[in-house]
This record gives sequence, structure tokens and C-alpha cells, in this order.
Amino acid sequence: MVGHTDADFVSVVIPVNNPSVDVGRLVQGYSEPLRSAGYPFELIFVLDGVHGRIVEDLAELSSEHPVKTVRLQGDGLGESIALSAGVARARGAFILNVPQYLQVEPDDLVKIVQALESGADFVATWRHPRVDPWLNRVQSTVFNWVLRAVMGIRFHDLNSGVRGMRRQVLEEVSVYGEMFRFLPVLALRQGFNVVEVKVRHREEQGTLPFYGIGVYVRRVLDILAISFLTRFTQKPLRFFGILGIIAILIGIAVSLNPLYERVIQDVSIADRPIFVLGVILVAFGVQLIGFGLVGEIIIFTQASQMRDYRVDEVVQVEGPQPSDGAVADAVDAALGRAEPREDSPALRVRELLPGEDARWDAFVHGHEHGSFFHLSGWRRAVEETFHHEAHYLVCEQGRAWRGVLPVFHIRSPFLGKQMISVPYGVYGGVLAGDEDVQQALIDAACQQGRRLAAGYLELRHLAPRPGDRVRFDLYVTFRKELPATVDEVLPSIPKKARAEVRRARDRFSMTFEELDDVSVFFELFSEEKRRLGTPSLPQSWFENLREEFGKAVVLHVVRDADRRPMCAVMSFLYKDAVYAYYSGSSNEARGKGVADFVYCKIMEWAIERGFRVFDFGRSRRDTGAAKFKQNMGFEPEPLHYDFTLLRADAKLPEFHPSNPKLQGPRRMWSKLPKGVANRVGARLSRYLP
Amino acid sequence: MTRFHAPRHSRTQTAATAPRVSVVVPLFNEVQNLLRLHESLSYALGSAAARLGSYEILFVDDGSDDGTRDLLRRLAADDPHVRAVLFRKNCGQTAAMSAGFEMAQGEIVVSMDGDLQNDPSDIPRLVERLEDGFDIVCGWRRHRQDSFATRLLPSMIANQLIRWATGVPIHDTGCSLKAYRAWVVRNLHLYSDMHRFIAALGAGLGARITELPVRHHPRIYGQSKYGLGRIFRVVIDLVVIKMLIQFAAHPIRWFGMLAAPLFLIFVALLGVGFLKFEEGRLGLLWNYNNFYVAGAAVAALFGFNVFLLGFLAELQLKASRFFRRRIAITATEAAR
Repeated sequence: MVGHTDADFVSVVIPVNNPSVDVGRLVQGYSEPLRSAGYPFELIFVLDGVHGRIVEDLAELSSEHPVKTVRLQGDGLGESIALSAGVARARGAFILNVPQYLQVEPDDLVKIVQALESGADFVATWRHPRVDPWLNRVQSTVFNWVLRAVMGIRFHDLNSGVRGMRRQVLEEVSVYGEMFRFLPVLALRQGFNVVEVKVRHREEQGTLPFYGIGVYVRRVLDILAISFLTRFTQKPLRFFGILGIIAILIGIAVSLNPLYERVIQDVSIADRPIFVLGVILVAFGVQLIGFGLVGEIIIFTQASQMRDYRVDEVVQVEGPQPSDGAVADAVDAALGRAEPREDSPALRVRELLPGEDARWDAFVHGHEHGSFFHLSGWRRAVEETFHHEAHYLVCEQGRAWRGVLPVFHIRSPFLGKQMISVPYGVYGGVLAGDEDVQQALIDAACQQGRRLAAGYLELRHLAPRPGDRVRFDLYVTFRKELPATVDEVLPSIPKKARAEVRRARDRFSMTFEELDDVSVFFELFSEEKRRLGTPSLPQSWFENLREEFGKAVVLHVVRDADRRPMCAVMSFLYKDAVYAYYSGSSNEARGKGVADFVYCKIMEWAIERGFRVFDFGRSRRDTGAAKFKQNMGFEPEPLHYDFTLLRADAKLPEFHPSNPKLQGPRRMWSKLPKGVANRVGARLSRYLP
Repeated sequence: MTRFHAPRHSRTQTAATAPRVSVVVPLFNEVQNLLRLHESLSYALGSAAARLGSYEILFVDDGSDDGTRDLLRRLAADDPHVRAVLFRKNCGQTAAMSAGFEMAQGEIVVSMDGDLQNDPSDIPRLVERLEDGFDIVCGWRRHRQDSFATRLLPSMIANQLIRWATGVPIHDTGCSLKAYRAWVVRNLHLYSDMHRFIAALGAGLGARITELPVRHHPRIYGQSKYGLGRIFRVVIDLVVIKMLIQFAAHPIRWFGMLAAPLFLIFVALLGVGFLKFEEGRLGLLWNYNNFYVAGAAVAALFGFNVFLLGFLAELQLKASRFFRRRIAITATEAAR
């Protein structure tokens, strides 16, 4: 029935319920301004229980003017239904609803259409200045004021019979009874764009001189109904509950005094009707809450049929979902693997934002030098345990990532202020595609470091990076390709160490297994640290690592024949490597070959699970630990720890266990009772990254 | 056999091309966070595609006025994984979530906040946990990054109350990051502020629920959209949920409890009005006190009223066939 709707076609809907209306004048008055403004239009007269001469008049007019007639079957169905029926026959995108008499200057209709054209969904009108009888004006003012007070909506003249709207509004806002009057309010509640336009009021003979008071009372009740429905449909108990609680509280307050006097002072309350009032209020309050609960049950059981939201539009790319190839492309672009374009934008370094952790980890994963310690989980574990300030830097080119640098700002009474990439880890530093990116990241970190008054920037590189920086040559690391099969592990170990492994296995019947309990590991770890005279890391650190990395952190334990734990190792699994990172052994384990045994077993364990590289971790040159690792058949590999001094007076750190000045304190430390050493050590380790 | 809600918006896609995981993100004035969020979400989901399967992201804009909508239109036009649902006006977070749930096509649905406080890289973990045999996996912000007085404390109280009232042992009901099987969200029918009680409502459906610690980041951009004022509302909602969960099958019990104090008042007033206590003996007071008796009568009348409201509630439940439908759903899913 609804034909093609033109963009600016205007349908004027005029409900008529008065048979003596002069339709000729109406047609003349309403069509003149629209025609001269150049809008295509139609006039739709909806005859609501009107018969007789007017029908012929309209038929006659329709030959010259674009006039349509809709006759409602029935008698006095009301303006809401008339409006709906008229709109159903209308073909315009813009609907003007006007009364059956010329209430406003017809010229102002053009203003309404213009407002609709410029984006409004609904146009309310404000007749100003009014030329009504004074009583109508007073009633209208009071009514609009009540509306504003109850609903908090500012309309000056809701009674105006002239309104403009887009067709869409009436399709979504259903009106019934007298509700058409509140169309602007309802439209606004549905999120439509409602504007108010001033129109000139015009004295018209067709109107009644006064409205009765009852008309306005009905309208105020309508407002309350609308207000309730829109606000509390979904939460009846909020409405009834608050009323009920207020009633109960007032009731209790009112009846307390008489009750008190009766019980304590024995004053009769025979003449205290307020007590009954109190009881009534309490009971009433309980009943209101009951109403609210019934309401909630009704809503809950009907919830499947309710939808309390209005979808404006759904935007999506039409067509099938992309194949996985497209996903891979998107991933590549995000990772910076895609080739940069010719007109590539400048490099930009910024800090990592929350929610980008997954992308960070993927970048680390994709980079050849990316290590376990570069992962974002390391940051969270460090922050959680030691509360150091992290600055994870990302170098971007456009939207693509070109490099990353994880760095922490550490304040330590022993080492001063410093920037470290990364603390507690043995490998860190820049991950970048080329030297420009690397330099941009290091510059940004230095700048950050100077701002924080740090002495130097320490980059714990495993592999050498281009550029000229101070190298710190204290540490070496031990890494080796694992043999292809489990059986080749033992033969690959030098003879002396192999004998130790066998001794532990055969003579002391040591057993090797995976461990779940961090506290067993920590016990051994802290015992060893104390023996060596260095503060132990806190247990929470190991727990946080486990929580953060889950299955990528494994614990192994060696037990003796009595199943007492002798030695435990915490290893990290990343890419194709196993990092045997933290270890601890009990005092009793010495001289039983336990250490050789456990690492041999971990290597076998790693091969079974398909790992290819065994990382024994760093040691200071020429220490016992380094010799042990060499005895196990590993060759020392130099580490490329780079330093950039950030202040003129800054110098390289001297606070490490090889420093002869620290021999005394270290011996003292190992004499401390275990509880004290662990507790103090946990605090101290914060400053020894 | 009762027919359940088929997804209403499945017109463009057939089962073969439908994504496996749908992520629903309600947004309200998040223009500063949106691009980052989209990027990290695409990232987390794209790189885990081998395990998770295909995905879609449903951004539901809850009537933002800060440019979020324009940005969303662009995102949705560029990225075939993204669908943007734009509300015409602000309808609240529950409505946004419920719209997203309704349009979600995946067999697994994940909901999360749009303010970057949740971490998209937790999604694969949640989904894996779901695949261990659960129907709802709730995120648990173990280390929350919010201010104590305005966010943490109210939330702790609310969580404790919710746990106590609903009996569902979830630590953090306020965390939006959750994963569900599709049948759960299709039958949840959220309204009002019910998103806080998803776990409890899900338990009512017979869903198997568990939780998983997730990361939580401090807010960097934009304003938090909660305040202290919601405590009262949460308490009221809690009463409702308690009733709906425990008594929905027999509302008359709940109304009986509500009426009980009124009957107590009735009995007490009757006693005080008619009995006297003199010289250690209980006697009947013949010139009884009008006001006590009037009060007693009022209490009795209202008490009966409240009690009888329970019948109305029973009637409504019967008429709506609510439990028949629900039992059918649970039975179907349990048999699967």
C-alpha cells in the first residue's frame, strides 16, 4: 500500500471529527505555503465518524488538489487511531500532523519541514505568543510544568496540535488513546532527535472557547502512567520497594512513641489514634513490597518477550567471513612482518598500553632474539612481586610494530637508580628489525632514564647488537643443542660428570620427578642461597611466575631413597628451549652427584617433549658454577650486556658477588638464622635485580 | 516440543560460515579506547585462531555521543570480523549485552568490557576452560586495579552478598569477562541490571559454572561509569534474584514469609489488647482497648492480602509456562 517514498515528500495528515469543518479553507491554507516552498506534498483527511457533505466536498477538491480521504469505520475512534490510519496511507517520508482548524499560521509549516530536512526526527511546536482565552493558557502552563517536574523534560507546549515527524518515528513509537499528545516525549525516550520550533498562534473560530478542567486531570494521569511505564517496567521492585520501605519507616517512627509510653511509662494509648496509623503504614508498606515482587515475577517470566533496547543500525561487511589467509595477513600486518610501503610514516616510540599484551607476546615470539624474559608475563610477575616501575616501549611505524624494548626503572640503595632490561632475567634488551628502530628505542629508554634520574641503562643482550656501547664482561652463559634422542644424553656428558650421574642414581638411589609444590622448591632454593651468602628471592616470586606462565614454568625435584627432597629446579619452557633457571639443593645433597643427575634428567625430559635447546643460564666467569657447567659439557658463551651511562658521574655497577669487598657481608649472611635470612632476603632481593 | 529462540539475525550466514567464537563488547563513550581494543582483540583472537576457530567481534554501542559511533562504522566497514550494533539511545549495559548475545552467531560467546581493563589475551584461556566441560566461565579479577573506597569496597560487599544470596561460589560477579556456551546466553533473557547475576541466572538454567583468574589493568582513558549509588539498587536486585532463584517455583512461600511479620504484629496486638497481667496471673481484659484491636485488624487484613498475592504470583507462573520451558531447555542441554 505504501508506495515509493520520496526523500522530501510531505504527507499532511488531518484527522477530522467535526462535520462542520470548512475543508476548502483547510486545503487552501495548508497547501499554499508548501506549494510555494516547492515541496511535493499530499493532504490526507482522516474522517473519524464524520459523514455527509464533507465527503463530497473532499471528493470535489481531490480533482484539483492532491487530497486523499481515509474514512474510519466506526464512530469517534480518537486521534491516535486516526493518525495511525492516515500515516498508513501516506507515502511521504515526512509526516505533518495538523488539526482540523488553522491553529497556527500555515506559513510556519514550512519551518517544520525544514527542521525535519535538517536532521530532526520529530518536531514539536510551541505556539508563541498564545492568543487563547486566559484559562486555557493557565491550564496549559500548569500542565507543561507538571510534565517537566515529573519527567524532567522541557517542552513548552505539548498541547499544540501541530507536529512533524519522520515516518520511522510512528513505526517504532506506538500510540493509543490520548497518548498522541505525548509523542514528543515518547520519541525522545526512544532516542529520537526531537526539536522544538516556535510557531505563530492564530485565533480560530473552530475551537472550543474553554477546555474543561477534567481534560487536564486526565492528561496528568497519562503522564504518570507513561512515566511509570518508561522508568520502572523492568524493575517494579525498585519502585514499589522504595515506596514500601518509606511507608514502613514512617509507620515505625510514628508508632514508636505511643508504644514506648505504653510499655515503659504505662500510659494508655486508648486516645492515641496515631498508633493505628503507624500499624497501617507498616502493613501497607509490606503490601507494596509484595506488589513489587509480583511485578518482578511477571517481568521475569515474560523477559523472553521483552527487548528494552532500540537498535538504530547494524554495520557489517556483507558477504562471507574471510578465510584464514586473511587472518594471517592481518596478523602479519599487526606484527610488522608485512613489507613497509614506500611512503612509510615516521618511527614513533610509545609505551605499551593495557590490552596489548597479546600483541607484545606475539611480537616477541616472532623475533629471532625474543626470549622468555621478554614476555609480558615477566613484567606482570615482576610488578606483582617487586613493584618496580615498568616501561615497555614499542616502536611503531604507522600501525605496524617495528621493535620493542622492555625496560624497568629500579631504585636500589646498593646500585642507585638504573634502567634495566630486564631485571631478574638473564636475557633482555632490544628486539628490533633494523638499527634505526633499535636506536630509536634505546634513545627513548635513555630519555626516560634521564627523566627518572637513572645512572645507566643496562641492556642484557644475549646476541650482539649493532652499535657502540660499553660492554659488561662479567657473565657468560651456557647453551647447547640437545641430542636427538634420550639415549644420547648420558654419552654426551663428559666422563667425570657421567660418573657423578651414575653415582647419584645407583649408589644413592635418587629419583627424579616433576614437582607441583612451590614451597618444596623454595625451601631448597633459599637454603642454597643462604649457604652461598646471597639473599634469596621471595617465595611469592616463584608463585607469581607459576601463576603467570602456567604450564610454561615447570618444577623438577630429585629425592633420595627416603623420598626427602634433595635438589629442585625451576625451568622455563619457551619456543624450542628449556631454561633451567632457578635451582636449589639441600646441604645433605653435597658430594652425591645430585646436581649432575638433575640436569641430565631435565635434558632427557626436554628431549622427550621435543625441545631442542638446553639453556643452563648465566654464571660469572671462572666461578664454581661456571666450572660445573663446563664439566657438564657446556661451552661458555659470552653475553653482550650493554651499558649506556646516562649521567656524567655514573659508573658501572660494582655490587655483584665477585666483588672482593662483599666477601665479609656474604659470610655474615650465611651465618644468619634461616627465618631471618629468608625474611630479610625477600626484602633485599627487591634491590638486587 | 517447545521451540526455543533461534538466533534472529542469522540471515546472512549459514552454519558453515558462522564464526565459532563471538565476542560481545558493550561500549559507551569509549572513543579513546576503541582502536586499541579492536587491535588487541583482533590480535588475541587472530593469533589463537588455530585453537579457537573463526571469530567475530560484536561491538554494541549504547548510544555514545563522543564519536564512538563513527569510529565503529568505519571499523565494521573495514574489518569483516566486526559487526557494530548501534543503539539509538543509552539503554544500559545489560541491554547492550543482551542485544549482543542475541546477535551472536558463535557457538561460544565471550563478553567483555570496552574500557581495556580486561585483557583480550585471556579469551583463549577462558575458552579452553569452557571446553573442559563447563557452560559458563567467569573471569575473576584477582588483583583489581581500582581505587579501594569507590570501587573495591562496594564490590567486595556486593560480591559477598551475591555469593550469599545466590549460593553460586563465584568470587567476582562484577567482572564482565566471561565465556558462555551459546545455549546459555540464548536463554538468559537479561533485562534491567541483571548482568551482575548472570552466574546465578545461569545456575538456574542448569549451567555448569566455574571461574578463572584473569588480568585486570588500571583504567587509562575515560571515566568509570559506576558510582556508589548502585549499592541500593544492587540490594533490591539481590532480593529479587534471591526470590527468583529460591522461590520462583513456589512463590507462595516467599509471600508467606513476607506476611509472617504482619501476622506476628496481629497476634501481639491482640494479646496486648485483650489480656492483662495482674498479680502474676493472666486474665482477660473485658474493657479491651479499641486501638490495639484496630491495629490488630489492620495487620491481619494486610497480612492476608500479602499472602494472597502469592497466589497471584503462582498464577502468573502457571500461565506463563515458564518452568515447563526452562525444564525442557535444561533437559535438552544436559542430555547433549
